[in-house]
Amino acid sequence: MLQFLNVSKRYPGGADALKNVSFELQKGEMAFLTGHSGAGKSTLLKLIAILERSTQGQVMLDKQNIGRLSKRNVPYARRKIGMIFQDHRLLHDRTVFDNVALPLIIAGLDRHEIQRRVRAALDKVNLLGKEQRYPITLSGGEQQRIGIARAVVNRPPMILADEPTGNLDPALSEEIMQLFEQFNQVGVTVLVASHDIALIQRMGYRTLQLSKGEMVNNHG
Amino acid sequence: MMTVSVIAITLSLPSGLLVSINNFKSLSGQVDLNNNISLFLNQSVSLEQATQLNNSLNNNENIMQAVLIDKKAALDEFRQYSGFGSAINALDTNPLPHVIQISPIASFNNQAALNSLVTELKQHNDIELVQMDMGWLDRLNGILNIAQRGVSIITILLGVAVLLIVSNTIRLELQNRRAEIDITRLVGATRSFIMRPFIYSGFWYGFLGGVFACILVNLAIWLIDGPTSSLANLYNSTFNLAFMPFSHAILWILFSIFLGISGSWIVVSRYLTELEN
Repeated sequence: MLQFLNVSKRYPGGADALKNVSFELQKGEMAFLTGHSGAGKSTLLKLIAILERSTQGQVMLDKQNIGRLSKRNVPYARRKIGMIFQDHRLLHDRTVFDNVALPLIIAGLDRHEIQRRVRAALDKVNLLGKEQRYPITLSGGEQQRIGIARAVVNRPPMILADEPTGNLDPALSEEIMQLFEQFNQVGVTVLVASHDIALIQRMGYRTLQLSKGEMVNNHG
Repeated sequence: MMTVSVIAITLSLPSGLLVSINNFKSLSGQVDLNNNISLFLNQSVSLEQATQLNNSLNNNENIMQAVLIDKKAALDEFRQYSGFGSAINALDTNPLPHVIQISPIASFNNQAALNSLVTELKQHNDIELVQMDMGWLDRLNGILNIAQRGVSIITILLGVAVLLIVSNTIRLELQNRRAEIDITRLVGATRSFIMRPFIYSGFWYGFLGGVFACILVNLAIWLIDGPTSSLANLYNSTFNLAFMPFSHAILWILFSIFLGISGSWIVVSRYLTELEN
């Protein structure tokens, strides 16, 4: 599903953020990405989201070299990835429903289908009944679940989560991780960046470890 | 709303000037129905000779109509209307010459053709003086043409100003919705999807600005029309200011919409190009 082949990323005038990174995630696999701040986690995620392009090497997503994708095709590649952020990245002037519906509106689905899928996604994250609330009136854990609903609402083959539990207490973190496991069980490839080592070890999935831009450990 | 007002005021200046010029043109057009030329004949020319000349002029293919004004009739008319009746009665001889008034055919409306006709007529022995009655109208039209060119330049300059106003407003809107743009980009929004709402606002700024500009101009005409007609009355004229023609209003609104959309498009596409990699 996702493959890095000798990928390096150097920012203009800066040091190497990633050095010769190679790894592969199989379809339907779930893995964690760890490393200290500055180890290159964010850069790696940005390369997958095509927010940055690699200086060397290939990033393959679903057999497509996304590092060489034309600007026109970037949005369509992004729709294959459901992205979840530590700071949720919600639109605070829109209701929960509108936030979750955003990817579907962008994809141009009809209103009836949007309604059906948004309700299904909110049902999965246990937020049914709060569609008309505004994100700001909900708790941190609930806001993160809105973000997750938005990431899965258009059924992407891959979920990418950047420190999804960074601001949550252990119990809530556990709950969020269980959600990811559920998605993984229905065949979605999941990559979660996190530095919560204890939680990662408890979950027992494959762990990719970055240190100073290099992949130091790439299996479980 | 602020932006719409600024656009309206900015566009009302050139459109208002254009309406004024058109009004001036219609004013001169009212007088300038035909480019009459007066031929003053020599004193020695008799009425028969004058009639003969008049007939031959009537046969000239370039002349639509030639009318002879008999000097006796002219004197009678002058005596009647000028108020110099007794003074004229005291004259021994009629000082007025016969006059032939000719109207060239309609296709003879350019200066060069008229001038060649005048030169041709001047060569005739019986004609002492050829006078183009409406020479001053040509000069007025010349001035109006300069003014029209000036309005074109002002329109371009103020058009650029409107473009900048819209750009600036959209830029602010863009800043306010930065987070939203980032998020929609992350979930796979295409360039056109992100641009669409901004293009819509550009359209509405342009549309409303154009509509209000037309309203402002017509309001101004309405306010000036009263005094203008009373002034025209003093000259025994029934001249009325014309409002902006509907077709012009439509064109101004379309122009304004074009500026609104372009201004918005330029800013948003530049912003997105900066974000893309």
